[in-house]
Amino acid sequence: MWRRTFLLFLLPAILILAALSIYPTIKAIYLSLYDINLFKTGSNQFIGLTNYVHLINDARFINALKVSFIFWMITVLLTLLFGLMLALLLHGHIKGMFLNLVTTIFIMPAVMSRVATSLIWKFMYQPSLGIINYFITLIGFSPLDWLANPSTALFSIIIVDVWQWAPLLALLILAALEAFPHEIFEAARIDGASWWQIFKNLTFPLLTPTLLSISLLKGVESFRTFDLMYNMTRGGPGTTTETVDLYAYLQGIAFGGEISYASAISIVMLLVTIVLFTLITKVYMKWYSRYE
Amino acid sequence: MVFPLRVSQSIKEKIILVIVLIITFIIFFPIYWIIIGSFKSTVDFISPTPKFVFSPTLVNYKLALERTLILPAMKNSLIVGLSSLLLGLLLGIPAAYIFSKFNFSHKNDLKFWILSLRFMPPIAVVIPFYDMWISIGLYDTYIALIITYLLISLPLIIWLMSDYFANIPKEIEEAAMIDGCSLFQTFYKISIPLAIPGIISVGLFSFVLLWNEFFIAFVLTTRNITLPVAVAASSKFGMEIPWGQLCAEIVILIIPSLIFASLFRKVIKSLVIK
Repeated sequence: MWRRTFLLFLLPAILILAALSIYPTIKAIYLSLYDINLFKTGSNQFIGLTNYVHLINDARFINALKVSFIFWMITVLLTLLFGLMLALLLHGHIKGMFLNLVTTIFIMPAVMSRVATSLIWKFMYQPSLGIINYFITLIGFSPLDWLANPSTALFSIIIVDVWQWAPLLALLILAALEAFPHEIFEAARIDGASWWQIFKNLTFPLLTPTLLSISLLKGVESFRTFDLMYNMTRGGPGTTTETVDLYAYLQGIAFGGEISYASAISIVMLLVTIVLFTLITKVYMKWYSRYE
Repeated sequence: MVFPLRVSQSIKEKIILVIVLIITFIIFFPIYWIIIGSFKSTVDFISPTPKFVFSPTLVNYKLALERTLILPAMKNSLIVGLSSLLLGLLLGIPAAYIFSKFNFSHKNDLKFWILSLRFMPPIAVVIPFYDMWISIGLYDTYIALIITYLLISLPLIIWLMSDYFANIPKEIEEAAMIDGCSLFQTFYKISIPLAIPGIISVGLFSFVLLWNEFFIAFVLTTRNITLPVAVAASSKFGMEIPWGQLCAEIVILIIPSLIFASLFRKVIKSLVIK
């Protein structure tokens, strides 16, 4: 009787999740070994690993990998850095009504649709009527076409991502800081430790597990670039903001119809995510066991 | 010497407060700017110096709602989001209950696998599903999107709800079982009512995620598009963008998120970190 209820509760969810995750993975591997094109009927020859070999020689794919990696690296580092700085600024200084206001506003960007954040910033980045260029010219610089200039486009999108995530990460770090007994900070201060000494020898080591788990969260999040790139630049100018998922979409669904080739790209993407996820989890577990 | 030290301390606190408020304002500014933009007339839009003071108009909202895409897209978003959420709750809550109350072999592996699903790159999901829904004739239907969205809502609900159930004291449930309740009766008579606040916040959070979702809906639909897809379609490349109307559409799109942020300030930390 118990066993039956147990299975009745657990199995439906597990089976559906298994079907929804295993099916696409197997299907993507299958597709990637053929040369199926959506726009050409009758093309479905088994070609083995040819798609993967093509990937290595595909300059546009290598470029997409590079753009994805730069975006990933910089957004993870900057959101963590700004998040940490904001959390330290808030910790112990902001209370009551102000803290409620700050918390509400810090959550907002992170729970907003990526389509909305992309378009809001595109609105502000407009070359002639945008508010950013207005402020820039106010302080004496010349206006820029932020999203159409190859040297500023990727950087401009990175700012959007940092704006969206750093405030939330600050709240998460702040929650961790508040969980520590504040006597330890007081004691260090009374013993005459400087701000930097307290940070280096006390706060930072205490925060390490939190920072690692947050970097895992943000690290996987930063791989999802499609919404931002598609709505702000479509990968342009040229291919300067074309990330792997955007390239796979353009090849496989939008223009090329080369669904097999796009599947190969998505399998590479899946492998990278799995490796990264496992690595960071391992590091996290190691630190966690050390500090707990 | 104690007194002047206190004064300087309180000045320092005030300076920090001012800095924090300035930063908070900067973070809020883009949202503020799009909201006031949605109430500007075309004349105020093309003024070379940005206008902070102007006479507000509702014409942009009228244009946005009159556009053939937006209202149907809102309806689609609601239908798809709510259906996938309800299905997710129906399947996820019992599973979460089992995870929080029982130990069984490979439980942690199973939990870890469910967590890892949240990190699947959408592109690896989108292409095979696109192919599959086309080949079984369900491409561009509610059903296809609702089922695909379970991959987002279900893992989230299982993870967050199993945490919530774990915090309900075992004693209450044990007492019910001693009184002769079966596992099923204990679950829906005792545990579910106690978990209502958790179900509401987890449910709203999942709904906001589904409401915001773009990539999957964008690829899996052409006519039954959701709101983010419809809004994104307003900013066609190479064409003049109707910014006033687009601002109004963006505001409509972010309203649930803003409400969620204001109502659920306190629970957000536990929702996001897990």
